Amino acid sequence: MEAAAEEVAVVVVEDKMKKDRVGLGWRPELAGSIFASLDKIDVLEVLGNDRLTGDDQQKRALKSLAREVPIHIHGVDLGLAGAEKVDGNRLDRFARLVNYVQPEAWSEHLAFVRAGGREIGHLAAPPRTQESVDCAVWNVTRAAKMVGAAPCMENIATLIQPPCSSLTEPQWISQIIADSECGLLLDLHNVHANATNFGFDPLQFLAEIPLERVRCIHIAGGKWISSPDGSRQYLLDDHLHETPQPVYELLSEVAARTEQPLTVILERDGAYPEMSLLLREVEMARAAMAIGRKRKVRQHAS
Amino acid sequence: MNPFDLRGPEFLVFYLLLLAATLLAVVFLRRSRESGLLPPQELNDPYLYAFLAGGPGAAVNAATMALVDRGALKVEKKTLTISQDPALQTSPVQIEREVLDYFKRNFSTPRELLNLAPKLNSCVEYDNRLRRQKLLPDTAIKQERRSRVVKAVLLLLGVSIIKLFVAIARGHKNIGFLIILTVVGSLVAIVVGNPRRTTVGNDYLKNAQSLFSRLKGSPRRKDKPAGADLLWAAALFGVATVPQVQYLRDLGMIDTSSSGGGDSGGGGGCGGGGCGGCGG
Repeated sequence: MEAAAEEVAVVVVEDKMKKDRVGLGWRPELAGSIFASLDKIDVLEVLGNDRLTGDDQQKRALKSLAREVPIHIHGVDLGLAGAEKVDGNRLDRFARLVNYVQPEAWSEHLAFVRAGGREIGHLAAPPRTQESVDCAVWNVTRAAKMVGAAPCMENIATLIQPPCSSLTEPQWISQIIADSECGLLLDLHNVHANATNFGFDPLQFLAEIPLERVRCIHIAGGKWISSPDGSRQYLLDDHLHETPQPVYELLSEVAARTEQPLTVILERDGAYPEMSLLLREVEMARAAMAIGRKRKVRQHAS
Repeated sequence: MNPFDLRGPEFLVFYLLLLAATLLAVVFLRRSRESGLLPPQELNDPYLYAFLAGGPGAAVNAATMALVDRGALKVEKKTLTISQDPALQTSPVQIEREVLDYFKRNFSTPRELLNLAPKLNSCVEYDNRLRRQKLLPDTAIKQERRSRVVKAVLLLLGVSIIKLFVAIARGHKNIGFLIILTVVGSLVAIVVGNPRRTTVGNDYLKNAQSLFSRLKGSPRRKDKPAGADLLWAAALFGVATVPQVQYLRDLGMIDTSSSGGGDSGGGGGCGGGGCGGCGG
């Protein structure tokens, strides 16, 4: 009887594993190569920025794309983790975009991008406090209501520890995800970069965040930069380099620790290599997922 | 008030207004009758879009360029020759096979391929497919367009002829402007009433051009074949917009009347944008 139950559990995990998908960030510069490789790409993630929300032709094009390929819309300039209320017009434009295009899912960052009427032009980490949790939850809940679907919120990379923080990053993320009832978009290169720059254990980080809420995963690459005084090196998440091996290892780890189907997106924002190299990274992500899932199956079997 | 009683200059103003209203009606009716749901965007066949954008010549030019890019065709002075590598001498894509077959026999007359393009099986198939999907006008749409244009031209001609009779009967001889206006107006009605693509066809092409907008005129890397990106850029925006295809001009293969991909594209593209440290 017990053996039969275990077998069922294994089958369930294997079944979920089959639903894992690996895709690529949609970049118009790569459009031709992406379309020539759609048999190897399960899903595309499109950046939903201000430029896109205001361009009707682009929206129509995106809608036609969404009819052919599963797409996710990834917001970059809502600034949902800011201390200020997100501008209603901006949110409304974004909601219209999502409703028009009808993507499978949408996401944003746990970051702020403007303050006091000034655009930072960057994803910045707010102080990790109960107040910033409350602000983020309020903004995310409002955005979910306006869009009609809850987003997946992404952890960001930062080169400075947010000042005046009273919570750790995992505590801060966990509380926002729990209170806003949204999913988690886990950026593993951001975890790797932050862990490298601030000297914490990324596996411990994974243990402290609600992995059961992860729906989507980002992988990417970065480069080493020096601090202004040259005294130390930082790992910068720039999306311009190959995904490093530790990120694949973290991906296997997440796959081994979770049961829900996951969508992995390879992000690349420039210095595009040949498509074959990007596809190799996609395949490596698939392989890393498979390794983790097999571990999970074995755990269930034993 | 009888418009035919208007004096020459006033009647010309009236006629201009009539002409503008007629042309607007022709365009509006055509657009509303030929719009509708877009068929699925076929993202695996750039040649279909090349044909839609510029016709058989554009599709053949794009195929030739792709084959040169891949090394299957070699540019030698004023000729195109087939690569000696047997693996490159064939292609799974019909139009590429037909272009290769042509150059196996006629390497010295590349320009002639453009004249043969409409008769290539692949081009006939594209033509049929696009007309079936109503992206290009099928027989019914053509008939409807013809009837609309004939009505518009008859209206313009009819009003003009009546006024000419009235003017001549009243001894006026300053009828040159009206005749010119009538001829020009009728020709414009024929042109705007019968464009190459349907409204759905334009929308279909514009969508694809938007998706690929960043490829337009983007510099090609010399160190490697540009592959699919180059082909899509050529298919959607015309080979003339692709850098480093001077050889097609030298061979007389860029047919400026059929290589353009329409007037849209532009736009910012939906995504991308490198930055120094994304954090996201």
